[in-house]
Amino acid sequence: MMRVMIAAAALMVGVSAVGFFLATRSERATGAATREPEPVNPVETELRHVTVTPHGGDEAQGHLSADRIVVRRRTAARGLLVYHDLQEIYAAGVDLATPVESSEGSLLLHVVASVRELLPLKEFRAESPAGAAARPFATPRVVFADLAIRLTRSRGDAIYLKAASGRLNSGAETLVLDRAEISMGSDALQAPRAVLSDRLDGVLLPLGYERGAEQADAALFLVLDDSGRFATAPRVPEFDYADAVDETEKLVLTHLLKRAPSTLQPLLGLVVGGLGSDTH
Amino acid sequence: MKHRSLVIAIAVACIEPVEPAVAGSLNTTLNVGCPASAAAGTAINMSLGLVNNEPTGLSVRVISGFAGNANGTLGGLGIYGPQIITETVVNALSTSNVVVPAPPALPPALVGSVATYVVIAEWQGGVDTNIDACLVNVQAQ
Repeated sequence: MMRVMIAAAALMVGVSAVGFFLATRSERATGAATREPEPVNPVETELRHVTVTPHGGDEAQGHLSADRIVVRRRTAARGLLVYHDLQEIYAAGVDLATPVESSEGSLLLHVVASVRELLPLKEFRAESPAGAAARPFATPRVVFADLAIRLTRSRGDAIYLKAASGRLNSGAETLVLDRAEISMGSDALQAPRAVLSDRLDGVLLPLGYERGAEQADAALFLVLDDSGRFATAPRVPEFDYADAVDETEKLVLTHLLKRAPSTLQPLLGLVVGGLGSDTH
Repeated sequence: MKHRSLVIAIAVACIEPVEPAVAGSLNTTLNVGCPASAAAGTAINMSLGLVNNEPTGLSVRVISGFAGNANGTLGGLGIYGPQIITETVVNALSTSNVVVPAPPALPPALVGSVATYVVIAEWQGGVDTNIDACLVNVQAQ
C-alpha cells in the first residue's frame, strides 16, 4: 500500500511538473522567463556534408554521404524527457551505397549488416567489458530523414531503397523505413513502411504496398526468387520491429498510469501516447 | 513566479530481450525497497525481492533508471540510466532477497529534488517483465 501511495504521489507531482514544464516553455517563447533551462535534446556533435568511404577510400566497398549527421541525447514523449545516458544518431539527406554479395536466396539477410558497417556505430562501444556489461544498449538508435540506399551486386540489377524517414533500431539489427520506395530494374513499389532485419531474409511490408495499379493493405513479405527478382512469399513472418527502448517506455508509463488517480489518467495518457512518437 | 524544484515521475529503464528458455506465462514478483534519501554522487542501495513461483530456476536481469529535474529547472527534466543492477538466477519456487547498489550515481544537479527510481526485472522463460518504483530525496554530500 505504501508503494502505491508513493507512486501515486510521484505521478501527481510528475504531472504537475509536466504542466509547469509546458508553461515554462511557453513563457520562454514569449521572453517572459528569466532563467534559461537546459536545452532539450542537446546536440553533442554535429557534422555537415559528410562522406564516409570504408577500406581506404575504395568506393567499390560502399560509401555514405549525408547532408547532416548529429549525435545527440535521446528523448521521449515529444522531447519532454531527455535521456542523459542514452544517445542516438540523427542523419539527414543520406545517400548510402553498399555491395551485398551472398547466395541470392539470402542476400536480403545481409542488407542491415552492410548498412551498419557504414555508420559510425563503433564509436559507441563501451570502453571496457565491465562498461559494456552495465549498459543495456551499447548501440544507439539511428534516426534517418530522407534516406536512399543502393544495394549493388555482381549478379542482377541494383536494389534501391528510398524512404522519407526511418530508423535503425537500438541494437542495430532492424531497419524500419517509412514512406518507402523499393525498386529493382523496372519493378518498383511504394509502401507506407518497409522493414529489413538481420533476422529476415526478405523485406517485410507490414502496412501493405502499391505497385502500379496494384494495391494492397495487407502485410506482404518480399523475397528474392531463384532468378534474383522480387517475389511474394506465401507466408508473412510474425516479426516485432518496434524499438526496444520505445517498448520499455510504454511498459513503464502504462505501469505508472495504472497507479495514478483516475482524475489524472487522461493527462498521463497524453504523455504515454506521446512516447515513441519521436521515433521518426 | 519562482517554482520550487519538483519531482518528476517518469523514469524509464530498458532491457535487451532474453531468449526464452521455457514457453508459457510466468508467475514472478519484484519487490523494491529504497532509502528515503541519499547523497548526491552516490549510488543508492536498493533491496530487491525476486520471487520465482515457477517450478524451474529462472535467469533474471534487473535494470534501474531514475528521473529528476536537474538544476531545479523543469527544462532539465531527464532520465538517468538505464543501467544493469544485477543478473542472477532465482531457484525454483524460491525467493531471492538481495541488497545491491543501483547505478547510476545520483548527479549533483538533482540535489534538492526527488529522484524517482523505476526498476525493471526481466525473467528468462516466457519473458516476464516486472516493474516497481520508489522515491529518493537527493541531498548534498
